[in-house]
Amino acid sequence: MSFMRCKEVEKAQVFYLDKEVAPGERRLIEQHLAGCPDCRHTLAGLAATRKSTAQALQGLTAKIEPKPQAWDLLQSRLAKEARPMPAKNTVWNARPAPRACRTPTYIFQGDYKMRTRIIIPTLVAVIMMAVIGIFLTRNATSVSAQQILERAYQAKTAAVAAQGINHIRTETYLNLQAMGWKSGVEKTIQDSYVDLSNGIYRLVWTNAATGQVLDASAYDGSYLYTHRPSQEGEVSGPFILYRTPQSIDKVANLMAGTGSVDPENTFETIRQDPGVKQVTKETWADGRAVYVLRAQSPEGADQKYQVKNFSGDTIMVFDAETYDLIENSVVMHQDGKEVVLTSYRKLIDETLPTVTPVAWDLSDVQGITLLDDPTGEYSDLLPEVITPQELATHTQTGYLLKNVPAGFALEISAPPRQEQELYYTYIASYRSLENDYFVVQSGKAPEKLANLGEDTYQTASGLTLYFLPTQEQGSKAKDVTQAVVSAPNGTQFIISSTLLREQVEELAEDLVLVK
Amino acid sequence: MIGRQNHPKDDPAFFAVLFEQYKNLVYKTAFLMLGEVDEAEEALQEVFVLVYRSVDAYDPQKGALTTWLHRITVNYCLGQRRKRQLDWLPMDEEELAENIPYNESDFGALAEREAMIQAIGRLGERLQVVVILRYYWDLPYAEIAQILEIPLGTVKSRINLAIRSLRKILTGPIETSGPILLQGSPVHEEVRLCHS
Repeated sequence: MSFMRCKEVEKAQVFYLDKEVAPGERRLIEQHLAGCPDCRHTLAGLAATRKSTAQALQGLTAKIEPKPQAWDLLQSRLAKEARPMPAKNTVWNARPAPRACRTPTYIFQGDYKMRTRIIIPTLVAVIMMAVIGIFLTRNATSVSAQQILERAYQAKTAAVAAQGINHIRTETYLNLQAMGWKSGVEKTIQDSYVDLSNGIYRLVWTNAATGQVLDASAYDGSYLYTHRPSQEGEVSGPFILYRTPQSIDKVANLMAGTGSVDPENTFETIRQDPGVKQVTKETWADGRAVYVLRAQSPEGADQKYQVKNFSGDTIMVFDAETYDLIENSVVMHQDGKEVVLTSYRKLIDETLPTVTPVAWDLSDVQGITLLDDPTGEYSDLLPEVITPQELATHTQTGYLLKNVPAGFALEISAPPRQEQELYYTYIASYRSLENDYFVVQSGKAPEKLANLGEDTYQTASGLTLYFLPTQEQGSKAKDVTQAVVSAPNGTQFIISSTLLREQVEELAEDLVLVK
Repeated sequence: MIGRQNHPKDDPAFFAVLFEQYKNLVYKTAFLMLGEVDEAEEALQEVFVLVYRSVDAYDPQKGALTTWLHRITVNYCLGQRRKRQLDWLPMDEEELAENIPYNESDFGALAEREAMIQAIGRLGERLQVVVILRYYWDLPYAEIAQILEIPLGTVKSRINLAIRSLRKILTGPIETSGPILLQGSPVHEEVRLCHS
């Protein structure tokens, strides 16, 4: 008959008390304890310690529980997790060539999470026009409204064509309560400076009420400055700005293709929309005469503003003298009253002399903690110019034209540090002196290819082009042809061009996989 | 059990139920590991976001849902402790007295509990974790081994060491103010215990 010694029992006592011994071992331990007062004494001490431990821990948590708002907070976080990446939509909304927008805004696919930073001089115009343009759809526009828009376009074109430093300050208001948000900053000020000659920029976003800096970014030609909040959307805690070296020699030309393309595109979109109607001419308190144009609410406003059965209007305000678009708002009809849901107002839009001193490195902004980030781990590095050979090393699904068309120049740009990404993102832009372009960019169709329609073209190499409806830009800008291209190996990419359809098809014959 | 028919991303109501059912598991574990209510609140949010993001990774065949939740919570808390170098239960005696319920006539029990909490605070991080999982949540050793992804023998070794160390702290003379047992190797810790 086996038995256990004191040393063996001692080692097993805690497990015995925790009922974590096999039945056979349990019997042996109990047999030993029956005849050993010392071990019984030790066991009692350990049992008391176990009991005290459990009681102490239970007591410690007896009075605490998660706060009632925990679920609401989590819901807000998860709602942001579920929100589609904005970049997935920009393929179809943005103008095709980044240079056409004079912006480092980048077009992505897959799950690449990169915040796009729109820094073009017509930043306000893009925001305002995007809000307007998406839902203007209906009846014949009155002649006077058309004229106003024509003149506004001309004013914007003249402003953008100037050199110097473009400075824009806007005020944004969001009626969070009406949209069902429980907290957040309602009124913000956005202040941007862009050097039109080279694209260096600074952008600071503050709480209009308190002046607290909410977001900031900049590029001074040597360093990129990026802010990362500790949690997405959280505005408490130190404001950290990461500084990463990025030479302007490597960065894709931020200001290439400047001119009247961008404002023309945005204004043309509005000009063509028949839903605009002239409402009134007013004089503001500051003596400024303005035209106020009103249009019916956009489609999809319910979802966009999180308001069920949305009914309201969009209101655009133009300076009567300069025809500059100075304000855009969305109002909601509620209980017989008009409630402002969102509004963007331009406070300043000026072009300063190039020699104007500007703190491109944000050193004048209060309350910022600057941290060096030499490897760019926390920064949204600007796209850099790469060669076709470099493109081939980064991806096995990149396509370029076999030959650069006569009269065109090629620039390929891609965000650096894409090693961890599922898909490699790039834009290959062939541009002529006359500002025609043919762009090849990574991307996928937003829906199944079969749903894109039957307007297709197949090249000799087996590429199938699915043409999308031509984006008509009006009399002052070139129409843009876009197509999703599907390769035999399953790769998809996008081409867009100001060239005629026949020219696009001809060039498509020259598309090859880079190796 | 999470199946495709009630995947949290497709069925928000299911995730709400998941949260309601297991928020205390996460919250109280986090409080015990991080020592502060604010930290526990943050951990609650972070852990459930992690759960939401990684729910596809949960395999019911590999363990219970609670095991998986415990693992995420413990790993998160350990990471936070190391990142922020948090002290366990930095409360002083007054705060402890406020937070621990007791009968007014039984000051002895209160003192005993305070002493125990201080003693737990002197254990190494790895011993504290097994103490919490075993003596707060009453989890079997095998499940603790699954949560911490360590061998069963290591769990047993640590629990044994933890209880004997606590006993020693509470019954023996207090010679140092720092941790009695440093975070050495489990073998080293066992040797020290055997020779004490």
